[in-house]
Amino acid sequence: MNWILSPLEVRPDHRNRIGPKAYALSLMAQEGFNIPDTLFLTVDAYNAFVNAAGLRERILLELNRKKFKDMRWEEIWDCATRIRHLFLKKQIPGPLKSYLTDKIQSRFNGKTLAIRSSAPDEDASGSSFAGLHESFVNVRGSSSILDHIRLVWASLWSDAALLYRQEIGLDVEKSAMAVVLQETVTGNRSGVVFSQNPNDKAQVIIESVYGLNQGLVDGMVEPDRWVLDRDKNAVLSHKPVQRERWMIPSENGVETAPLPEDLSGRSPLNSKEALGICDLAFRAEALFKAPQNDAMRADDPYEFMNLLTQTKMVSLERNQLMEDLASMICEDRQLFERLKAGEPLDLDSEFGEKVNQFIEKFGDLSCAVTGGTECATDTRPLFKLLLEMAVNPSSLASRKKPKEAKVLQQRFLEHFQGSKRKEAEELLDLARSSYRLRDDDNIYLGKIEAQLLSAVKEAKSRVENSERRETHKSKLNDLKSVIQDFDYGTDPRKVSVQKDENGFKVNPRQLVGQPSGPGLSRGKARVIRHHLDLQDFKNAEILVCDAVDPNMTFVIPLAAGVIERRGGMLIHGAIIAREYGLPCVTGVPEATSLIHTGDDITVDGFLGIVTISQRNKM
Amino acid sequence: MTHYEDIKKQIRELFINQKLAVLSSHHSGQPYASLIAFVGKEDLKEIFFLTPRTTRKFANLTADSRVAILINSSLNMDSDFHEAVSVTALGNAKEINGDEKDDILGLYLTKHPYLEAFATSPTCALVGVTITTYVMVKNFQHVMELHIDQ
Repeated sequence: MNWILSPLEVRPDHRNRIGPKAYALSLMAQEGFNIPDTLFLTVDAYNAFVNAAGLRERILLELNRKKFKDMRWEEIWDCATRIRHLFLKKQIPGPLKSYLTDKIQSRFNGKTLAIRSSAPDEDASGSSFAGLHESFVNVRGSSSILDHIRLVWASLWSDAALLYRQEIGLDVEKSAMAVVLQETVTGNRSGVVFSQNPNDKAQVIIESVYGLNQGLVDGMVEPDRWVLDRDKNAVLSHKPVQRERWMIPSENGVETAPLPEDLSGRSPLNSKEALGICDLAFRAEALFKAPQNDAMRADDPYEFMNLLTQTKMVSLERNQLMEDLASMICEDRQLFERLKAGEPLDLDSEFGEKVNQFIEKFGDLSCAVTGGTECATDTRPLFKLLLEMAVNPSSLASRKKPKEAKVLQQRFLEHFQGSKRKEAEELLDLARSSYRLRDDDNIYLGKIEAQLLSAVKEAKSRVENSERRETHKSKLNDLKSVIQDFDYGTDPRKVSVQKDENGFKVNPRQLVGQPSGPGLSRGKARVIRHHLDLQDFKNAEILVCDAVDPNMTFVIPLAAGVIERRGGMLIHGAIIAREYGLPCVTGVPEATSLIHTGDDITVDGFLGIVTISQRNKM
Repeated sequence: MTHYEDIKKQIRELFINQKLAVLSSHHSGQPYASLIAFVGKEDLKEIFFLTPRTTRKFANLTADSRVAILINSSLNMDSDFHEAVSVTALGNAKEINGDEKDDILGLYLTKHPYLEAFATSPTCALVGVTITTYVMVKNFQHVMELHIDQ
């Protein structure tokens, strides 16, 4: 078993152990092409790592949590994140590590390396995997090189790679990854040549930039572009660009930087050089007997989510206002009794004013939030929840984790120095803004939906009145048809019946979803099948719903955990559960039909498991 | 396919494809596990096995008829963790005698013909377990229960 091969050692039967990219490089080297100093890590090295680290079955378990076709993209992303996290947490085992270190050291002798993926799957499928797996440039030092090899191996399991393999019908469970190690050649020009333009077979295309080629392939640096005539071996056109930036090696990796003025006015290649590259491409084409496009040189996988907690979001502001209102009720016995008795609210009181401000901004929580099409007509749902919060002061003690987020932010930023620090701060700001946007837009859409449903309700009432008067028959029928569309769809209140005629009855005992918020809690289930179910939410119950949206999560301060049928780490249920430190399991198939309100359930947010300990007898 | 149809189908598949199961019994609070060659009825309401009357398991189930039987499709491979299906059947055991014994032995020996001599020995008991609940585990941690009104 060879863990490493040099280009001159490669034989045709090695092709499926080093992947087509590495195999093509070995052919070029054997034909006398000038390629940078290179070694290949075979898939045997990948398999040795996966087996020694016990990852093979862990990967299969992750991939088989539920049927791939039933997973939403977010769930596949979660699955990919967890698998890649496994790779990053496991060290390369001793014998393999010593072997690789010795070979790399003796071959490259401290030079910086490019570490590139080469997946044998590409051959099996006949499809290009360009850009799906990771490659790294300018990696220095044994330890860093070994870390980046693991990163390349891990990239076999990116969400995009998983989806792509699924799409083209490859068995993801049998995938493996070879790696190309190449000396980084720090020329100041680089590019890509297509020996045959995909859109015009008579042409050759060359794209070239100053600096490292990664700037071009990552889309960070716009290239100059040449079109050449294949037969006449002549330049047909050159499209220059405004050259402003280049990608260059930095201390540990690469960075984009302003292009020096003396280069920005000059094209990276002249016509003669472009024709020379064209010749090189034709030689490669002859070697491979097909048109070529090749680059030429001229422990909680979701810890990052905690970094985003304490982002100012509308849903959190709303919940804080609810907690403030509940505190006022808690401190005023008379107010408590009046609200409990259903007496009208004194609008001029401080409490009345605050309630009005709340309703002005967030509505009275009475309108549809779960796909239902009916609205209650008063503030009863709001007061019911406020009273429940007031009699359970523990729900008012903030469970959010500001310190943890601050410490994590500090740890994150400490990894960056100088200008990189500013970039990291900007990236974090951007991530938080995206996080906020993703959450806030649902609140705003919820407001629009509430207005729409109010209009539908008003229309229904007018239709009924008009029918009694029997006027405008045809317009009335049009309107009725439009209104009926709002009632179309599956009934969220439907509970699946699990008993057959022979006396067999099915009960769920343990359901598997995705771990979306760490923690463990036990309580009564409150299954939300209709928006009015929310007003009955009791302290320490577990919210079970089809798809949490921010208009539902005003009950979160009362909740002990969250279970959702829809899966994903970045869905609102998971976001808000993390904010409040609640265990959360998402992606539980049929959660709202298999679990019943009042069932005793346990939410294991570490493993993504929901256990139904006792059925509600009612 | 509804849940109970799906679960029943998978239990029937285990009945057909698996020859052996693990019987759990107990005596004075001491649990005891033993391997049995079983056959299950098509309607899933009973599971049968043979045992010499001198065995510990027979003594145990005579003292307390409550038993559990584990049937599973594992192959002692890594892939078992995500591919194997297991079912634990809970129920009450009793020795089968009289007219029905011949019919059930016929069913039993169709599945385990090599046990004919064992089955016809006068010291061997045919035990039937009336099942009240099946607990099915698949995908490593997905657990569903099938309850039967007997």
